[in-house]
Amino acid sequence: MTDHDSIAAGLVDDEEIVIPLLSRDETVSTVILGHHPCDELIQTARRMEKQLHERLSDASSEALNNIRDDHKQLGIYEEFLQQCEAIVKELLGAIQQHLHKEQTALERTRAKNSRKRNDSIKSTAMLPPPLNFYAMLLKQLKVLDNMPNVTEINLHDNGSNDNHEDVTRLSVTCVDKKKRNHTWNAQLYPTIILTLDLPEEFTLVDDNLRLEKWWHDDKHDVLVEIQKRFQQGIDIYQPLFDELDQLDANLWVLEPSLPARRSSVERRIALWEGGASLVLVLDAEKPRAAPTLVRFVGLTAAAMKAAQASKGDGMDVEAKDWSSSFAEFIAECGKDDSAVKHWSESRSVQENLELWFGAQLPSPLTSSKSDYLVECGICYTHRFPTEDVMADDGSMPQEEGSLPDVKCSNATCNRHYHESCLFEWLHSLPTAKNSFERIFGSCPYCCDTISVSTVKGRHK
Amino acid sequence: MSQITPMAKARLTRELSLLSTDPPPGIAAYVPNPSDMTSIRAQITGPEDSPFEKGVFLLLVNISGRYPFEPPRCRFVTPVYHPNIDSGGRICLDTLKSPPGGSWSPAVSLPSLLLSIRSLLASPNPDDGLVPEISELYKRNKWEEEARKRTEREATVAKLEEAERGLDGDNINDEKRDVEKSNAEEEKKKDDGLASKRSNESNAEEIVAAEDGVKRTKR
Repeated sequence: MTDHDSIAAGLVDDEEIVIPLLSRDETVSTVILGHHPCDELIQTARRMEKQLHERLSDASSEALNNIRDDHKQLGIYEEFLQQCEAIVKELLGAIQQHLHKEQTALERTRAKNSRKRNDSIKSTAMLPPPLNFYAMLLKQLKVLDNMPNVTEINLHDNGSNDNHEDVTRLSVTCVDKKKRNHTWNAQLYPTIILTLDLPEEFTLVDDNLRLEKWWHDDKHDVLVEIQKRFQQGIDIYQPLFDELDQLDANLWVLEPSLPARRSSVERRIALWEGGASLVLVLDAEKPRAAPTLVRFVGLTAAAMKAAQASKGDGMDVEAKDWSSSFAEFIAECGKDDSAVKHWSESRSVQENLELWFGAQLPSPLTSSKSDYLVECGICYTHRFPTEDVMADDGSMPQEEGSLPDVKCSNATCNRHYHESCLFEWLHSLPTAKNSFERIFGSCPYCCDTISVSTVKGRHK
Repeated sequence: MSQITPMAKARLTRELSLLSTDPPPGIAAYVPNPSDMTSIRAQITGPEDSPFEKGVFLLLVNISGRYPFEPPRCRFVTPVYHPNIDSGGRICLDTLKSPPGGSWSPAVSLPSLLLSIRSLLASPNPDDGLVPEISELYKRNKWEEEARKRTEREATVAKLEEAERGLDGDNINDEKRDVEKSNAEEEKKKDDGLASKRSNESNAEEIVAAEDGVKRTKR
């Protein structure tokens, strides 16, 4: 018996072969081959599987018949197992032959098998984690706890509707050199699913990191390894965090709402009152380099006029073509001998921006954010309010709802409206006229003609 | 309680916070029942250099379901002896009516609406009078004296508190129905085209309100 077990155990290591041998109710073709597109191969496998079953049952019934004959027993088992081995080899040979022939089919098989593997993982997810999962978890948590930068470790249950309350979610918080907090979250069972808040370019997971059934990994402490790599990632992006923190603290960042996620390298910065702003995207690796994407928002003649009026004659806002001036400013980047003022990596992003702007940019220290957020003239909100996202006190989350997109073309009025708000108002006016899917009426404030698309307005 | 859209709710929240943090001169507005933002009360002190200057006037503001596309409905609880305000407290002001008859637009905010009602107190418009007798007196310069006398008698703080207590005792729905009814009647009188349609709506509303008393299902 022991021989049988050990051989069987030896076979177990090679999962793909053994599973069909040990569990007879599963068929070889479904387990090994999955949904292999090659019909021929499936047929071969099915044929072989049938043979295998026949021979196995022959061998085992023979063994059972002779079970009391102690002298014969060992020989019969040996014979039985040899037969099994031969059948398996035959089967493998046939499969390999086919796989060699059909290289593309092989790749597809692999893809499908891996998908199948995931499916089987999903089905085991219903089972509670094994004991060694907890043993490894505890062991690695102790190591994590002793790491100098780690400040907080939290374990939660997975919060799902599963009946068992297994502690399978982990969040680890650590600090960087400037005492900024960074957290990663992971679902631990049955396979690690990581959520990091680092720039997209950063990859933590590679082939050396075993995420699936990680508690079987004897060589590495997987969770500790994740923390080490995460800390490395944080160190890499220190310059980026420095730049972004400087922008967030000193300039009016309209989007994203602060505190922003660490993975966000985009900032919309207010230029002056009346809604004009600049969107820039920093290079995560080289944050001080010229921004990769720059876009201007709300840079209209009226906005510039208003800005000029408020700044007095200190700066000639109107005469300047901002986007092309910014393009020139960036283009000279890197030419340190250039006489014209240009973006330089030796300056911070904020310094570069202000050098280009020719003045200090508005700052939360000197002005209030509402000056730069445009409100709809009808509903008095920035984001269009809808039932499902609105808080009880009537306030709206920053990132939801459409922005006031329609603007009165009268430069002295210059009001913004949500398309749906304006549509509803014009729609209720007996004097409004429809033409070519637009509704025309008068601006609620200045009574000049204003129009909105009936299609868009109605849809919201 | 009438249903309001999320948009109206967002706007009202803003307007009410404006009214409480940065109130217009002479106007104190508040919501008596925090769970119902559509029913607002305002205490308006009589404008200086007007016959009302010593008085405090209680005004009910009722937000309709289509706000801000429809004007709020306003009614004085305190009697006001004024050519454009009748004995039921109804106000004749073009800002309080939808176009084309009136000049309401979403551009009018609650603070500015309350301000224009207050300035109507100071400068009546006898040519568009709601109460012909008072208009006549006004034109003959005999109105001011009477208005001052009545203000001293009716628009006192004691009377105001009494009126508020009366309102608090009332069912809120009754209070609203009063406002709606008065407005519907006024609009019917003043405005043919649009107003008839709207008053039909109000009538339907009244029926519903009368039927179930407490629960308002319309809108």
